[in-house]
Amino acid sequence: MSTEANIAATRRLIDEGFTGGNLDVCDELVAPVTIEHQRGLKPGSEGVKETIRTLHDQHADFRLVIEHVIASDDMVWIVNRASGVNTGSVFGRPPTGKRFEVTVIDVLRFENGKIVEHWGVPDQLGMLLQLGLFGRPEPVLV
Amino acid sequence: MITTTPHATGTDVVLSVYEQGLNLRDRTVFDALVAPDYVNHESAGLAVTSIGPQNWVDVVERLGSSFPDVSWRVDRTIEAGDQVWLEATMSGTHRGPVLGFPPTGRRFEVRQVHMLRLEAGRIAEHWAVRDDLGMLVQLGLYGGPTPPSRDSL
Repeated sequence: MSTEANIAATRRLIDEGFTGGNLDVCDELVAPVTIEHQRGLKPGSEGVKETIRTLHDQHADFRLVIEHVIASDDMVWIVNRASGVNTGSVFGRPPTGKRFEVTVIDVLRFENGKIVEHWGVPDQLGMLLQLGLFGRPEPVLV
Repeated sequence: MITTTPHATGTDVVLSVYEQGLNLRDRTVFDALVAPDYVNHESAGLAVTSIGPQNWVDVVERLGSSFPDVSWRVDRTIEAGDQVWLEATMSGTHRGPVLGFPPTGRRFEVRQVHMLRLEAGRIAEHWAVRDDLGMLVQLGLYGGPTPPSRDSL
C-alpha cells in the first residue's frame, strides 16, 4: 500500500474512530494482532476499540484532531490535539467536569493497509494538570 | 569533532546533535549544527529562555543538574521536507533537586517524541511531547491517584 493510502487510513481511524466513536472502522484499519508499545493500551483492533470506548466514557465531546503528518515507507507519524470535557472517571477519581486539551503523538506501522504496530506519547501530565487531578506527595506531620 | 558531510541528511544532523552534542556533552556540535536564531518551544518549562546553540547548552545543563547522567537513546526517526521527527528514550538518575524536591536517587526511563525543523542544514526549531507523568511516577514524585494500567490517553 502507498504512503498516501496509509495516511488516508490514519485520517479515517482518527476522524471516524477516535473522534466519531465508530468502532467498525477499527476492524477495517487495524490488524487483529498488533504490537502495542504505549503504556496502558491493549493491542489489536479490539484494543483500539477499547481505547476509543474508554475515552468516550471518560470525556464528553472527545475529539482527536490531526495537526501534522509525516509518512515514509510503511510508517505514519501524526501530531494530534486531544480534547474533551471530563464527565467520567479518570484514574479512579470522580469526574471533574473540566475541559482539557493536550498534544498526543502517534507513530504507526502499516502492513497491507492495516496498522500492525503503534508507539505513542500522549501528554498525560498536561491532561491531569488541566483536570486538577495531579497530586504531589505532601510532607506528613506526625 | 563534527562528522557530517556537506551531503548529510537532516537525520544525520539531528542524530549528531542528540548523540554527540547532548549525550557526549559536546557543545561544538551545537555551535556547528544549530541555527543562531534557533527557537525551542519546550524550554520555558525549564526556565531556559536562550535561543540558538546556547539553548541546547542551557537545557542539558539544567537537566544535568537534576540528572547528571541524563541521556537520550534515539529509537526511530522519520524525515520529510524540512522536518525530522524522532522517538527517543530519555533516562537518568535523580541526583539533584527536581520541582523543589530533594534527590531520590531513583532512575527513570521514558519515551519522548521530538520534532525538529531544519533550515540550511541546521536545526531551526524544536517541539516535543514527553512522558513527563511517567518520569514523575518512576521518581516517586507523583502523589496523585496511581494510573491503573488500563487507563491511558
